[in-house]
Amino acid sequence: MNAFLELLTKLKRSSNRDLQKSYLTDYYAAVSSAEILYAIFFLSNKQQKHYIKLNDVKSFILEHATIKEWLLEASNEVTGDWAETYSLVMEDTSQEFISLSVAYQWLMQVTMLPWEKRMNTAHARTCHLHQDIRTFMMKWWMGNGRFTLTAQVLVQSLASFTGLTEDIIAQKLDEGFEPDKVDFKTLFYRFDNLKFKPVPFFKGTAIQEIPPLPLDSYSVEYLYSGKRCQIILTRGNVYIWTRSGEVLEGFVDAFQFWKNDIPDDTIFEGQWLAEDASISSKSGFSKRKRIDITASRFVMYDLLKVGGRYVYNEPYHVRRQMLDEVFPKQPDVRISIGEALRITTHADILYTRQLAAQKKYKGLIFKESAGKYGDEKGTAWLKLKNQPQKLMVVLLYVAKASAGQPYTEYTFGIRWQDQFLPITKAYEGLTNEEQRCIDEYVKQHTIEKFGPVKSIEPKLVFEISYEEIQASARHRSGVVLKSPKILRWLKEETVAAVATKEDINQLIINVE
Amino acid sequence: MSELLINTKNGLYCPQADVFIDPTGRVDRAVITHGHADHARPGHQRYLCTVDAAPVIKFRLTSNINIQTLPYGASVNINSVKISFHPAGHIIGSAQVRLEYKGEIWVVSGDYKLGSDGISAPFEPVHCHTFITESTFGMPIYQWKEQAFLMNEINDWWKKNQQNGIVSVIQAYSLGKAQRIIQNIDNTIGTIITHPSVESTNAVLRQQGINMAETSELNSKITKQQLLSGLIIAPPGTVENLLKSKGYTVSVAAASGWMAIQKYRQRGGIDKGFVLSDHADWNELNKAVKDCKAERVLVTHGYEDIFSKWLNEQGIEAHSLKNFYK
Repeated sequence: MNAFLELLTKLKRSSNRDLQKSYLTDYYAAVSSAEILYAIFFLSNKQQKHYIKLNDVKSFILEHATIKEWLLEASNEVTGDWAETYSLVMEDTSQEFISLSVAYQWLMQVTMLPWEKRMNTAHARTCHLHQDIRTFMMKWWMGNGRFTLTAQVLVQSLASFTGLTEDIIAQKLDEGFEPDKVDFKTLFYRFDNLKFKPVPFFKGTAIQEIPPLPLDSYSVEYLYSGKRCQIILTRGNVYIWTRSGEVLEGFVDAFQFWKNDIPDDTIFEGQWLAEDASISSKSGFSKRKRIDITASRFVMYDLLKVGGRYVYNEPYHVRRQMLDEVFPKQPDVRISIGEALRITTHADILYTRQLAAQKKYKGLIFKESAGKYGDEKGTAWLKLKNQPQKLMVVLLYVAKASAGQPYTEYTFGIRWQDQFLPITKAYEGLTNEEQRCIDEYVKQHTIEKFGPVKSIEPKLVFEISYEEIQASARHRSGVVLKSPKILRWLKEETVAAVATKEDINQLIINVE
Repeated sequence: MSELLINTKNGLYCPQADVFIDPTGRVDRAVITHGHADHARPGHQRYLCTVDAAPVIKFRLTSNINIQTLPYGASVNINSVKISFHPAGHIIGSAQVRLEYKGEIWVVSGDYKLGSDGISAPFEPVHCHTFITESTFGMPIYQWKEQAFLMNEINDWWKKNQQNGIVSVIQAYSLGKAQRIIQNIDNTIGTIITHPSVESTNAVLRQQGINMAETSELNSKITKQQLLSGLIIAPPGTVENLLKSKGYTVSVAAASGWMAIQKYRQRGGIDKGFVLSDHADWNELNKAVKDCKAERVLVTHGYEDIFSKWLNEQGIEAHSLKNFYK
């Protein structure tokens, strides 16, 4: 524990990161690997809980030392630290040292006790120890054991000591560990459960209008539908992270080629496209992670890390060029590089937008050639979605989020023979006044109640918009709409104007 | 009734004997408790100190000062005031000053410690009516450990540095702390190397018959091997940077009571702190006050308000020196 306390003193004394790193690596080299684990545990301990209350410490000292409260407070003004004041005032002649692992055990034992027993036990356990150890332990119990060390310094020192990369170390420390239940090798050199984290996904900015020409400073690409992913290739493993934080398992084998062709520790960004319409809906993806991947493919369009070096701050044209260079000449057939579109005229844009819609992509994306990945200026990625489609529908059901609130969830339907089929729900687009009118209508024209949901007489006609329509076997109407929004309430129209199933079928065919 | 000692801008003054104790300004007659610079100042007409303190005071202030000496326990009468010196245990030759006039006894502690350091005459309690005590470490957070324990700590640190090719530098005042370490350290570990200012003080002390372990002055004759295996004793800030600039890895230790407090230990330039003090700790101050059986205690040099408040709570009349004479 001596070496650890000396390390702490050194770390506190210098805020120079390089010095701190050298102190740490010297320490790692000098002590056993078991001790390193305990040391890391204390050094990386971010969440400081309070296990012993300040008041309990104070009353304990006042009870056992023959001094009054004013003198205790005055003493603490000198040290500025109650744990230290405690260990100095409750000075004991014996000065034993214990190992870091024993200290850890005792620290933990006290945390298991009921509050009222902790201070007495803590003192009884530690009073014979060297004053520096007593201060350290009491600090920890009191929740003041924070060190000036930044996580980065710890990570970098461990990386240089273990020879592992920083993100592995960061990941391992992030997950947390109990130093008495794991050994150094298992903790740091086993990767089977390790999930490398992706770079935070860059959102980009949605635009409504076509950007002014010429687009010389931009690269134009399709805004793909499907799942945006980062593919992390490192240490013999492939991790495919979706933007929602899942790790996909199904596609891993398609990336086996990288082991020979691509530098280790590389992160691509791309889109998982499902060509089969039945799985192209979001629900299709998430319900079946291990789907038949032969029907789907990957389009890669960015490179965030290569050979252990993060490159997301490089300009896009550089990253794109690196992507072309790094990417194997003969990858798996299911993986390709996203194409850059040639746009010179306004007509080009209109045409490619049309193509994007036909291909069932979401639209176009304009990527600034000089832009960084994750650029906060708001101009690096401009997303132009396909023009929304419109549809006339009738209101079938309403529901409210909670009692006393107006209805906010509207289910709309289309005509089919002599009845109505629900086609989509929509939430946005009505004014407060319109919402109140609907509330009034619901009161008078409710047919049935299903819990919070009410079915109403199908008479109110609305125009809604959506970005995409897809066939869906799981919906009674046979289709699912993407991003539906209420455009307006057509008070003059009757249900005769509402779209029919045949109209919808025609839309699907057109799309395909 | 006027007091036997009063506080003046030049320090404690006895009007009856017309003497000052450790005066700050230039005076005619100064009674000096010990040779540290904040107690023995140049420029007085006449000096009175212990036999043991005199050589160093002369060495530090110039040898042609007018100095009168007394052995511990012996007294001199100045205008009916009986003045004597009694061991204070602070450094070699350090004394408490006892003044007696018409049956009233005052003792001025000077700097003192109770624990025996193996080189200075150990503190002796002196009964008195008024005790003027220092209070440098007059707080319960200051509680010293046995000297033997601390010396072991220093030995261990030295040995460890030696094994790792690190030069050991321990910061110590050239008078007092330096000799205490020289006398008590395990000199079989390696050479004790002293800064010239320490070594010149050592020479004076050896001259007056103090038996001290062998030391080598830090100069160009010291070999690299000696530096790496030796213990360098030097005043703060004198050699560390020079050694570092010559490419040595240096561990700098400080030996002082202030090293008890973490934030002082963590100040720049010190790698290791040893809580080795030549001042009384909390328990020693309390014991000294009790043992001298004083009716009244005046507290100076340190935590004056705190220690006097504490003594009053213990039923001992006490004042901070500065408030007492207001």
